[in-house]
Amino acid sequence: MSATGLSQKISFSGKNVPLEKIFPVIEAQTGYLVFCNYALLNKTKLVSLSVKDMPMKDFLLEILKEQPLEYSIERKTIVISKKALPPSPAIDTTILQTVTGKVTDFNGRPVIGATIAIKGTKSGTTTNESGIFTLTSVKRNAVVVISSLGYERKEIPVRGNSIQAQLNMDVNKLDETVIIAYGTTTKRLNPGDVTTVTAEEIAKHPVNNVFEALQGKVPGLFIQQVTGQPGGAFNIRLRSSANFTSDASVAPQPLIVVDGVIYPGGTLPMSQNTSYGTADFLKGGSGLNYLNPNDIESISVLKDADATALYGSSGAYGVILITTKKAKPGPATFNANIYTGVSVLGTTPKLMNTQQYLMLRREVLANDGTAVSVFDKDINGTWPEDRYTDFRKVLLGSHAQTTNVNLSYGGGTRNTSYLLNGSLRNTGNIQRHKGSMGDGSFRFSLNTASNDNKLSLALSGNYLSSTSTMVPIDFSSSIALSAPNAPALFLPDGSLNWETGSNDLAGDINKMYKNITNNLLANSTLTYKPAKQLTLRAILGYNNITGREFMGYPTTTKAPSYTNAAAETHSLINNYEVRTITVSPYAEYNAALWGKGNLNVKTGGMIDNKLKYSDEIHGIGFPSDALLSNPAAGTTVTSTYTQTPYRSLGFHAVIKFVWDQRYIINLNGRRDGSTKFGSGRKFGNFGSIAAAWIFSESAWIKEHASFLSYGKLRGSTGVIGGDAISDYSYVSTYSTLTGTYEGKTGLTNGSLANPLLSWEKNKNSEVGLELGFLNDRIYTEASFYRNVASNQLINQSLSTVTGFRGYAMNSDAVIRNSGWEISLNSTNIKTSSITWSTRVNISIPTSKLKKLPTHRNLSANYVVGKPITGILLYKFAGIDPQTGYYSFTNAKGTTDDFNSGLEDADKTAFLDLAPKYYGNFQNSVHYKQWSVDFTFTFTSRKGKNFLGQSAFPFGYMGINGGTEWLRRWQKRGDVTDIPKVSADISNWSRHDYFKASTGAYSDASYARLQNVSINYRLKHELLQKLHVKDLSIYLQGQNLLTISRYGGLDPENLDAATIPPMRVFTAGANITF
Amino acid sequence: MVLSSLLMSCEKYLENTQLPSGTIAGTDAFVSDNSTSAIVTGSYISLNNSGPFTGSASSNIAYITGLYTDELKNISTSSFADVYYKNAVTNNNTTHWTDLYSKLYVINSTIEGIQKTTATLYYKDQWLGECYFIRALLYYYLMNLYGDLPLALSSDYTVNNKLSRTPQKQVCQQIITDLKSAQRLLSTDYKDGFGATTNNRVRPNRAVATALLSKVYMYTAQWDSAEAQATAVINNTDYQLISLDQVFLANSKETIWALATISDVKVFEYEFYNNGMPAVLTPPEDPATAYTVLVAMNSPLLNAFEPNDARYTNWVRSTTVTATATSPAVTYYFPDKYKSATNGVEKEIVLRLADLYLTRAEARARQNNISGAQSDLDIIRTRAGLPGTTASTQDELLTAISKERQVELFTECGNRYFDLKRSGTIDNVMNVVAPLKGTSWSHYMQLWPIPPGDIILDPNLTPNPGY
Repeated sequence: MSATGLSQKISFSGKNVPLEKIFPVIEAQTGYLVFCNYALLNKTKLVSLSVKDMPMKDFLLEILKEQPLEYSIERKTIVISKKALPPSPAIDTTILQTVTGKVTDFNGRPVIGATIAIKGTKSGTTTNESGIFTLTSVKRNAVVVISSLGYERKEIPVRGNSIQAQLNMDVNKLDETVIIAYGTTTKRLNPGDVTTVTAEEIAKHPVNNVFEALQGKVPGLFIQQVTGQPGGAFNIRLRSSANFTSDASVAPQPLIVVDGVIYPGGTLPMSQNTSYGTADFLKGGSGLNYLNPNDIESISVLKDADATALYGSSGAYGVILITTKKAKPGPATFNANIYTGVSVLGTTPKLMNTQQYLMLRREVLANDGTAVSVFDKDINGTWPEDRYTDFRKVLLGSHAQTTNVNLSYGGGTRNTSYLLNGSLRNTGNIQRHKGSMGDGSFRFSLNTASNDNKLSLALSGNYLSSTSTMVPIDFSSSIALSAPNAPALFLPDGSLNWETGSNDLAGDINKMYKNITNNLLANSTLTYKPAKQLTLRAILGYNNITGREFMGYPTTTKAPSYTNAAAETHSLINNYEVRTITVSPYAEYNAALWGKGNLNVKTGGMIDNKLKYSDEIHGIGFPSDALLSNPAAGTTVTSTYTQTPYRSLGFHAVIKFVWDQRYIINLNGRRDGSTKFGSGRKFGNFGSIAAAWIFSESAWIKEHASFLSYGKLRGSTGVIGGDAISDYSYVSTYSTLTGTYEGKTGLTNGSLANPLLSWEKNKNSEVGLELGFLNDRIYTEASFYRNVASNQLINQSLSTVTGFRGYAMNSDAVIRNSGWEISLNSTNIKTSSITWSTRVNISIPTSKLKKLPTHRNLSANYVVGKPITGILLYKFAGIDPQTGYYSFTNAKGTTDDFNSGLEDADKTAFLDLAPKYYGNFQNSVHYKQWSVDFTFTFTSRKGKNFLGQSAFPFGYMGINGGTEWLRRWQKRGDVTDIPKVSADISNWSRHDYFKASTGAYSDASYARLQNVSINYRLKHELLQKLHVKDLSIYLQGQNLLTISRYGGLDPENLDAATIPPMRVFTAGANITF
Repeated sequence: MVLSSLLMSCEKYLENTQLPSGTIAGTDAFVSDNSTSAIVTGSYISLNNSGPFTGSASSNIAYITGLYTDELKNISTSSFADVYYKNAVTNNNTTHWTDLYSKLYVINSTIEGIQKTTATLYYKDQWLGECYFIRALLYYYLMNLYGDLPLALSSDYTVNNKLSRTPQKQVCQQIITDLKSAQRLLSTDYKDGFGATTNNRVRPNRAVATALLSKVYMYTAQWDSAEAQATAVINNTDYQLISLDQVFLANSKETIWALATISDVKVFEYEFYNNGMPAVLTPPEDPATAYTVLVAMNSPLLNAFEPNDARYTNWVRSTTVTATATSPAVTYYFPDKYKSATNGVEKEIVLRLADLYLTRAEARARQNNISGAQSDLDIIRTRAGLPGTTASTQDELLTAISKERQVELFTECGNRYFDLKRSGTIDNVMNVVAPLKGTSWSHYMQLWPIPPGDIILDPNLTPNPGY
């Protein structure tokens, strides 16, 4: 026997060879699989044959010539079956037989654990690790239904006693499990609005925080990365929540629930110590930085009243349900996923070089008629004029290494399954830095059930420990605060240059920092089914995030000549903890009614008990830098301790009725309590109603519009309560002040209390249309929602004569948010070797203030009929060609270069800062072993431009500006958009007006190649030789290319003083044994 | 039944949640001397942490009014300093209004809490007296900076949010009423935060209220009352003029009332004007970048000192930045009243006896008591090593007293700015000084702008003219 590589031609030579020994030869030479029920081979004859390069089909005919067998080819599988007999006059349907079969995927790989069911019966089985199944007692005319997560469902009529099924990748996912509040459903039967993102999609993104991977994928969910610094925060808004808080960083975020535990998704109680703390630098951080995206199985985003009502108070601003990977039955499998790469600085605005800077500085003095002074070191000869340092390059120009290793081992039987998972991540810093951020995690998941399946228990635990030694400084904020010919920040040996007696830009680099954050997430779900129709379940979740931040400010951050350096050394340790216990017991009753009906009733409750605490020790004045590690060793030691409890609880009842798989109605009711409100006002009642009609099931459609494979009309409406106000605003409290006054501690009351505070009311309605065409190859969904928010919890402005800027109250204002969300999935090409699918979604949110609050509000930005996310601005009228100053048009219509006299009433231009629309355009191409994905995200919005963000107009010694200053006004008659350069004091108020004018805002719309993922999966045959179940290698990139006209700033984080989202390039491998 | 008891227990579950640690519900705060005193003490701490006496140069009244008038000049590129130095205060620089009114809310709610409490407070009079004094002090500063004021006498925001401005005269009357209450309630000796008698002159006693009352009577031209109140303190043997180098030491006999520092290591003035700077600096070192000393004494103040004035040698220091190829040597002069970098050696004096001698001299001069005025003035001049005054008419004396206040009380608690306005000489002085500072002066500038936000929110509130 000889083989000559993979082709569709076969060379064979042998005498009296049994058929079962020829099949491997065919497989080896052609790459085709031969599938055959070996029982058939009992009665076959031996084969003698000698051929060279015979076409495969001929070869098959030849060897089967005298056998009672025939073959068929399905894709790359040759199926050998019994020769069809002449049809018998009537099939005896009572005859029972055994059917075996094999289920493979697109690439011919076995599909493990696929569900095999016989249509219309309750019998069924699952495929084993080779994708093979056996069904006994199958009637002859039966239809076998094969389904598996991620694949299209397939129905195969039984003919003969073997089945060969190849499953196509699922396109529409209509019947995939969708995780909703306290349970699951399918996209098909869900009357609410839920978007699910799977692990597979998340895995394409080399990111540390899963929010980054979610960006753009979920219509209605706007995600903004605030800082590119690892460990930083994200602003998340669902449907631009109808809330008065227009500042996205403080607006209520959607509730995040991880495995049933309410999770601190937003800010953590990091050190608030204003001059030294990390809170500002990481913008508060994000709890999800401490959950490895690789551990996530799926994310469901609940949007409408129907979906969110069950989370009551906490769900008023949307709900994000995160489910971690869980144990599954199956053979023991070991998986390793490893990637490594680099990240580099994203888009930043360009600053002037020395030559440009000096030219403009001289122009300043000429314009102002001032002489060069002793302070003007940049131009008075103190600093050489040919020296140039690109401070951004020096401080932010590094390449940061990033590495991620994930190992998992899992398997189990039907009764007990297990999954163990470990991961290591390390992320460097693009800043000139010591230190990095890294974490390691361990998790397990264990499922066990009694033999009768009545009692089952699922346990999971996840522990992650993260260490960051990156000094918490964002150098971006100070890049422009030095003359480009100022002395170098570092000496050639890398140490700080103290030539001028100070080093404001880089001195901080010698600070010491260590932050250890641990995240423990545990969940147990106990299920008891006393009767077939009744399920009792209790979910108990526990989450504990603890942090220990250390910061030290040694003498080396100050010039060696600075005599007070020792007295100013200080260090602090901040310990914090956020602990959440969530208990949710519920009962579920399921019953078939009147033949075609299905009733599902759920009732239960939820207790959420949260405790945040932090204690901080701060020492000043150390005898030695070596003692900084213990802040208690300082000359002056202060400490703070805070502890804030929050509790909420709720009862809920849900009734869902499905008639004939066509008509669905869902009723939710809920009673909520929260400690954010005072006595007698703690509880509120809320509820929703939803209905759906799957009209494609109707006979008329099936007959007259068969191209429509799926059509659903759904609608929901409901009232949800919100409690987005700071804790204990209803009670006036006294708390201690820092320090003592001659030995006596002081108390002060910090806020005005409002005992009348009560629940916000959000009335949310939505209608949606879902359509599938051509067997769901094209699937589209459009939703229109309208949320009306009233009784809003706001901070009502007060005249400061009252002692306060405002106080918490329920406003009688009414805000209406509405919007369209449209998505389209299309499988453009689907052949045996290539699949190309495209997904597009777009969200178009609008908001309107329907009724102004009765109480006057300082924010004159509230205009009836306009969005609350907007602001009122002075009308910028360009640069006055005569004077070179900014000019504005006031309320009277006068255009002048005002430097005083403009009032709030002169702000006549309204600018909405919320995104006008945003979305995502995603393509996946699978070609043989290759798959290539690329994703564009796009957002249309306005943002503050670089000039508008600059605190200082150009002119002062040591303050550089963007290259747009080269376009400045120079002489009478110049028409330009940049004013004349001047250090005159009047420029300050002019620039202040400018910052509050339309001129300070530019179009920050952008399209971004957010992600590219190229994956090569090794061929099945090669894997078999390597004794590996699966192996793929991949290249991934994040934030690769940004197209915008936003003057060099990053259009996502919109802030020149913060590190923008990084560009990341990685390469990795994923192997399964 | 089961359901309702379940609901009951849930209600309890929420009600039983504790307040955040370290907080006391407002109603529980006035149950003992200890916590009541702590709340009053909170006001001293906040006077130190922010507002008129703070360590932040950008809001310290003495510092910024020194820049605003003729006492200090900006020697740095500091822009906040320029705002005041160039008399360019705008609607954006309104922090004092907000800050003083927030302190006022605290004091009003404290007064209400002490008055309403049913608990027996042993030192109730003392705590209440301190509150009235602090309220008077806050209005004293508000009135001097902003003129006519919304008179908030309760903590009720529904009332305070709608107040209109009360004429300054009536505000003065309210200050006088509060100070009289304080005089009645406060003990004659100094108390500490626990009610015990102490040598520390950092909480007000009767003499402190009397001293401020004497100053406030000058605003209402009640010269006889001003004199009587000043005399009451001058005749009190607890207070004596002492040698110039001892005046600013902690609990000096000259101190009537001082604020203690909180957890800082020194009195703020030390950082503002001294900060360990040596007498000679070699470029590129300069006061601003190497020592964060941003301001120096301005020439009108330096020129006001007569030859041989011992205050000049005791309370003024200088630093010379040596010449370079491109710039000549520059000598800067700095206030040097507070000299110590060590905590506790000095305390920030708000009221001292010399001020009262000059106050009485002015009150006497106004009443045509020439010899009485001369004698008070000469007490101060003598201590400064100067000969007796040559002023002999009322006008001459008033001018001489004004000049004496300038060199005796320079860079102390805004006295110069307030004196210029009270005497009506501010326009004359500033019209000369402003051009020296590279700016110009208008009459309206003697009052500062009030926050435009408050004018929007309170329809009864009117802005100060000119802003």
